[in-house]
Amino acid sequence: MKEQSKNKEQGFLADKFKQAYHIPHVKVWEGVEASLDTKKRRKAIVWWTGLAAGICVLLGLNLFIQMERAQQNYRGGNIQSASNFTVQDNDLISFYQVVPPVKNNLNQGNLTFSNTAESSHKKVIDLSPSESQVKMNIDLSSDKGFNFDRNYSYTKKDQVSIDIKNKTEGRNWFIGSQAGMNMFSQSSSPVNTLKSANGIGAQVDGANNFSAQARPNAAQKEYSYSQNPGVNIHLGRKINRKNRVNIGFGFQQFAAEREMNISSEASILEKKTMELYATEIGVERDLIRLGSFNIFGELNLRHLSGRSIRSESTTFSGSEEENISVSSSLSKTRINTSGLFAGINKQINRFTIFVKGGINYKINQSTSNDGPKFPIADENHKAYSSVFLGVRASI
Amino acid sequence: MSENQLVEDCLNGCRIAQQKVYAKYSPMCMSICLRYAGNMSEAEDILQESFIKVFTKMKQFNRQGPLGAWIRRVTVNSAAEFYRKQKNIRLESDLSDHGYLVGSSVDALQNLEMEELMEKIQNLPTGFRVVFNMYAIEGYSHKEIGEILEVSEGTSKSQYSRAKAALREMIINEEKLIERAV
Repeated sequence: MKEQSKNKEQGFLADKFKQAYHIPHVKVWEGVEASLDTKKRRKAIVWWTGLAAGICVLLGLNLFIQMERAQQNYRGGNIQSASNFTVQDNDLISFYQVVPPVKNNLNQGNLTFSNTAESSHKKVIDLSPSESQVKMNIDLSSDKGFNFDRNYSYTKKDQVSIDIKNKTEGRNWFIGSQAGMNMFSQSSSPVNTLKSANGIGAQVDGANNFSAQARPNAAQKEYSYSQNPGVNIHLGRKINRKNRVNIGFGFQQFAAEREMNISSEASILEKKTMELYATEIGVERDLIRLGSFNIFGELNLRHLSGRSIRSESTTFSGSEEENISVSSSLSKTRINTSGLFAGINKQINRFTIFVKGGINYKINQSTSNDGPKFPIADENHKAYSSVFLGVRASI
Repeated sequence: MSENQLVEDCLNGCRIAQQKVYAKYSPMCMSICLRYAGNMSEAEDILQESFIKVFTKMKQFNRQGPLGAWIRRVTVNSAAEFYRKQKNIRLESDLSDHGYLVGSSVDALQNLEMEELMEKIQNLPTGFRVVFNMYAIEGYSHKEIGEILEVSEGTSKSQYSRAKAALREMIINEEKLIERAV
């Protein structure tokens, strides 16, 4: 009986409120709309992060496979390529510059590699705009995801140089997301002109020197990959809309392998692994407002310090395999880059489209001990310009 | 535009379609929220949460019933969740102390006008108000209420009985005041 009465009461007032309605304040819809926008944007960021991570994995795999293949080719004594691939004028140069210069003495009819530098200091000043380099940089990043950075460069010097560099870094404290395309133009002097300002003639870039002197059927290959996990702290809009500060810390690890085969008589194999620690700080400030555009200036400083953690060199000299030597070396690198940029930006809702151009000055210093024998100090100064076009989004 | 088309557009993220759905159903939902909420501001918060859920979880709408009924259910669940999350909802399960209230007459409530009843419901303590709304107006069973509010069935029954008693007391007191005035 009791149960029946309870059931009767269930929903007994429903009819009374069937026609009830009350028009809500307009701010409720505004709140719903704003919340839906945020969710949509978060969803997009997750997609971009996933996409960038996926691309990074694929590129990493690709490079790994290439390196594996190269190793297999070498083991099989099957280096046939006649192409000359070297890495020049980028962050990797410190790595190659610490390789003791090798001299190819072809006149004796017997290939030998001898280290001609026991102690040296080299200062290279590259400022003349006598060659051009085109570099494309794709940079995708999100607030809590990965930063995907890939550089392609093509340099016409004495030989063709192709540089492929992959960079992946986590940006845990980054406020906003960034996507853009980077076009660099870079100027430096031709090989072997100003490179011996206070050095010895034989101390010019070992890799280049070797390639230049090698016989036509010489083959040289270099492979490298790098990984840059790191943290960037961007303090920006929280401080002042007109001043943006960027502080970053990064860790970069890369490995490179170089194989050379001079006809069938001699070859050299080098394997290097290196760590680089990066710190960077930058300030950007809006200067003048022109209608809906802002003209801004930017100053940034970047410091890299690194050391080799593995370095091996194997040399096969002559047709007889008697002079096989294996050596390892330790090296340290310091790279300081400062950049001064100016540009124009336009803010559209949460997006800022900007174009900026400026100059960079890079000082590259490295020291190396080739085993216990030859300490080498190396210094390289470089000035280059760059132009950047990009979009920055903020949450 | 048919309801199906409207739902389809909402699923595709069309803001105009979402606005149309909001314009059509928000007055009904607001009246539900007002019954559950202690004040206008809370009601608006619940309504906003409800419609965010409606648009983000529209995939779950199976289209077997009318869209309005589904939105109504989402709103009621949002209101219940709102108070469950607040943790200040006072739900007591001691039924024995208030056993005498079970079976209180509901005739007095049925005789009230909607506005009067609404006003009295809004004056109930939060726990009573939520359970009374869910049971007497939405037609949920005590078992369902228990599951939604994460309390026992007995607690729901107790709250409902006490809510009825409180409403009855309000009516009696009001009648006494009128008598005195006359």
